[in-house]
Amino acid sequence: MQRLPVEGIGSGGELSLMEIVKPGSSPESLSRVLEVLTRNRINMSLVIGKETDRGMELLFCVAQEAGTRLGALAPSEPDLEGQERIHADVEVLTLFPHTGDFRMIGLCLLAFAEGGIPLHGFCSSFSALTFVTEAGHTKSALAALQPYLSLPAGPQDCL
Amino acid sequence: MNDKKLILVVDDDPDLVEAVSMKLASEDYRVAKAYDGSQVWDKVKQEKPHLMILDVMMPNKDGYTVCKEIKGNPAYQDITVVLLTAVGEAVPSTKFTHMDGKTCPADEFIPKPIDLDSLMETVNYYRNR
Repeated sequence: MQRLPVEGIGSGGELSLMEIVKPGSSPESLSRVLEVLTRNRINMSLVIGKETDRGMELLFCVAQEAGTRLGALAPSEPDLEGQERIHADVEVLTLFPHTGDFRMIGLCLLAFAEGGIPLHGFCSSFSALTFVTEAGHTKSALAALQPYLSLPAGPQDCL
Repeated sequence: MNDKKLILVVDDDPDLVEAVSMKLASEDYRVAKAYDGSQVWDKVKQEKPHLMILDVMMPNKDGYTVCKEIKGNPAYQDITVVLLTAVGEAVPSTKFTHMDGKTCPADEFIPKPIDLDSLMETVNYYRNR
């Protein structure tokens, strides 16, 4: 099978992943969460917002220091209330460009399943796919992708 | 020989590279892409671009360095360099100084966030120069 080409890889570690679920709320509730982060100058490396049968869900990655700050803020910020879950040590792996090819998502998920790579979530931007995994799994994730994706070589291609 | 001008887009934000590339392609340009300054010379030597859209802040090699290298090389100094920069507003928190911007021999400076129409005006201005 011909491997799909990937021109660039990005990765980031020392991140915390926060999930907030707000049962029965409107999409505006997610905006208010983002406002809290903005007000406290907390940068996100990834954000996923969705409506599920559990309610409105927001999943986002921040630097671990910011994750600690958010944990301390939560009791005084009503907009952060909800069913919260914090994963203190995660990494993100970004592949680009996906060129709008759905096969890339499928092959990545297949590769990660075969490789036993834990995934907390994934999302797509205009040209990149980003996966959130446990700390220390980025290298094994890339190894798992090798049979399916033609990955760039060399540290200069990892942003 | 392909008459369409080749433009090299260089930015560590792949979404920006893709958005700008699509816009350029829609306006009858050919596009090459790079995601860091360290990738530029390979692309330039593959095929010399007519114009380069170049971000400043990139992880391995920044846009100021690339611009100075390109403009300092007689074989490539005629490449038009359009520098994308948000550095002016963020200077206190970056390693770059106002002097870096002032001494950089780019042909044009465009502020971020980019207005695609303004960018295309600039690119089209240099189409036949």
